Amino acid sequence: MAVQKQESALFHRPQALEPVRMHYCPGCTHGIVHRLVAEVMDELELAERAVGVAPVGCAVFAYNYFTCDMIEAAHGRAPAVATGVKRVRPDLFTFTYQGDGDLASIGIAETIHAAARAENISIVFINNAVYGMTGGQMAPTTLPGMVTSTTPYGREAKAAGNPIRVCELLAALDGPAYLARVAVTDPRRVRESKQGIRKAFQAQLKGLGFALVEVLSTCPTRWGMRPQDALDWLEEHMVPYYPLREFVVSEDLRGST
Amino acid sequence: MRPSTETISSSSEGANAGAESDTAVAVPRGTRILMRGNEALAQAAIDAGCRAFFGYPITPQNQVPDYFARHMPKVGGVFLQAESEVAAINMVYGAAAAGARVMTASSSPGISLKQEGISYLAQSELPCVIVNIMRGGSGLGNIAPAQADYFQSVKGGGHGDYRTLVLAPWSVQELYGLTREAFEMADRYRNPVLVVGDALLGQMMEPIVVPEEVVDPASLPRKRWATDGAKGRHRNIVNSLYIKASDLEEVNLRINARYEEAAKREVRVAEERLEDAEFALVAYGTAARVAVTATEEAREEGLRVGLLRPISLYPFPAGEIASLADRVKAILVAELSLGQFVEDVRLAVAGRCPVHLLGRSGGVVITPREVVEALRRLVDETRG
Amino acid sequence: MSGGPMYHEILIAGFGGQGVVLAGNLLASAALAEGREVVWAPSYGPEMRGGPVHCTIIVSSRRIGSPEVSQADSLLIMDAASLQEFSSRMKPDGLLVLNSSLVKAPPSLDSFSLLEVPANEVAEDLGDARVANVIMLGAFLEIRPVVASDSVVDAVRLHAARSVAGRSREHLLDVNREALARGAALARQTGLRGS
Repeated sequence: MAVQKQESALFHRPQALEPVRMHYCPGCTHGIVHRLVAEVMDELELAERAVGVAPVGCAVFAYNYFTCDMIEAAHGRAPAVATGVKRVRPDLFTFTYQGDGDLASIGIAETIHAAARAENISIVFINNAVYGMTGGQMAPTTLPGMVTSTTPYGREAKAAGNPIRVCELLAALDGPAYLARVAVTDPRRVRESKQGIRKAFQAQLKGLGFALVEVLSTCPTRWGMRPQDALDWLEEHMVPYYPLREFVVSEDLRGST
Repeated sequence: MRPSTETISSSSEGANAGAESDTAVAVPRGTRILMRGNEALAQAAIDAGCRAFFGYPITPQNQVPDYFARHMPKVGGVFLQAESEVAAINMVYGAAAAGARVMTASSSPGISLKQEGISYLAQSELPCVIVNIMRGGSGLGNIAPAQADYFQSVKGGGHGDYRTLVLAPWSVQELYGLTREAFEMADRYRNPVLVVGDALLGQMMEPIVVPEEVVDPASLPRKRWATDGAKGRHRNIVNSLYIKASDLEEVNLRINARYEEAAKREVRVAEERLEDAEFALVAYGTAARVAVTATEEAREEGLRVGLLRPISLYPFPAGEIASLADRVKAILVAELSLGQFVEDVRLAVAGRCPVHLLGRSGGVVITPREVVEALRRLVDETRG
Repeated sequence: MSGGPMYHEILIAGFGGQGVVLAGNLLASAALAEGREVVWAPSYGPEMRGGPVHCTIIVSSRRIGSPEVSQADSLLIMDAASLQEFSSRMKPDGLLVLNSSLVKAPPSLDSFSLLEVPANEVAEDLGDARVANVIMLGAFLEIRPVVASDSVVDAVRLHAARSVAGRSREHLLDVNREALARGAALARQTGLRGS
């Protein structure tokens, strides 16, 4: 009797991800986070009722990469746009995908107020401490001493201000149902990041209110490093300044996976 | 700690006597009632099937958000006081993208803040209605009636190669009617429609008849382009980014074709006593109300004067004004700004007859007497 | 419903709490009920408790053009500051109704007519200080009957029924009716000063 060997796929592209080539630089972690978002959308069967909101910044073309309906927002306004969608169509699932300049600089007001309103939306926040698309300028999350094109001698608090810890800032509000900071530096952390995104999405599905996952990410191009060095630099410099943990977990979210 | 509801509602004392109030189930229909302009336009939106309003307080339009806050919950609609005008217009953007009939209102400085969002709405081909109850400017200016946002309203306002369709009511009844129509136009042309009033139109009370028939939002056709869940279809994308120049131009030409269509179908003007007029007043909104009184007074003094009143400011009634210029000896433009509207009148007239300007600024309302005196000077000059 | 041809511009001014806006509303509602054209417009100013407040009302038998009142036919002045502010906003042959409880009559009368009404005293006498505005209205309507006094009573009834949720103000109807009558009687007794 011949042994029949059946082929089975062990790894495939998530269905919620369009089969297109992404525009991100080699070594950029946006691709990983896009994949995590898509995997969670698949697992929670969200693609047919999800509306994603893309930012201005490196992820500006994110609307090309997900199979769900997508809206491109003005710079920093994604939480307001998502609010508009969610308020008129509470049955839809609405998430934004934003970078640090978009969310924490020009859009900080929209972010804080969406959080304070306990707006029932989910935010994936990419913090790579630099403006990528515009050429490597200082971000609101650029670390002290860090060299960017607009802090060529290193960020000095006196002249250029201090970095903003978004999760800690929002944790002071009553609105958020879920706040967590994760990183995508190694496989274990990538799995943890996916759990964070999953919880942020579930918070909305359960109607618990505002949820945000801050993903510490690398920008090898603007940091001027090789991808592996960038991952090491993130661990060494960003993680101490931006501690990885859950800041707010709504009671109703505990125990869910 | 919490103020009683009575304390809160007493601030709208002025609005309650003649119009509705918290205890009134619904606005009386089919009969003359007194209503404030700001409340009439809000009721018009609800009657047009609009179930979402996002706004931020600013005088002199505060009765608009107040009205929606009271009445949207009764009809299952959304009222949200946004953290800023910027946020409000972007909430409108999101709601419009999701296919809803949606509105925001503000006054001059707040409309300036919304311009970024209006540009995105236009480029993303999203319908919405925006009301500007204009006040004196520039800068913080004041809260008196003005028409100084004319350029901003009809020439684009924000960045880029777009227009907003602009309607200019002159009474509380028209504020109601044109706001309702604005929703139909917005959907027809997939473009923001701006309704412009001023502090006087917004805050004054006049008799108005609210019609019986209203639009049931459930009866509105589904918008196939809306981002409302890619169920059983390929995804929709609402976007204004086109990196390739030829792609963006293609979109802009498509949008521009709609403006050309609107220019054919949506030009609206009203005329008063132009049949035998030797001289014409051209004015819109509150300035036209002043001008119609001036027309009557000037007629009593033996001057053959009439009034042409653009109701649509964009598309502009250039053809109507040009043919008027062929019939009269001279035109006097009356506007509550220092020479904005008159530019478009002069472009339309194209030298066919002299065009003079009577403009007041900073919230000063022209008096009928000033208009009559300016007319008389015009007559003397023309005859001299 | 409507009487003969007429066109009358009224400006009412005082300080917040004197019922200036309400008096204007009652007049506008009465005019509406009589089938008149009417425009009511408030003052434009920042919201402030006790601050200056005024409103204008145009009552007409035909379509109203300009909604802005620059020179009123009648001026109803509730306090001294308003007299200073608005005495120039009256037609030369206009009617000035003055709350003489709080304002002294101006020394020179020019060409206009003056009606002095001790509105606060009469209101106290009626046991409700709040009806000073309606007493002024009653006196004014006696001299310039732009609407019938009964129409104002109807407007009060409408306002009382609607103004506060869940609480009837019907009891205010009587005191307002009385206030209108007292104002009218005062106007008949004192008569006009001036031309």
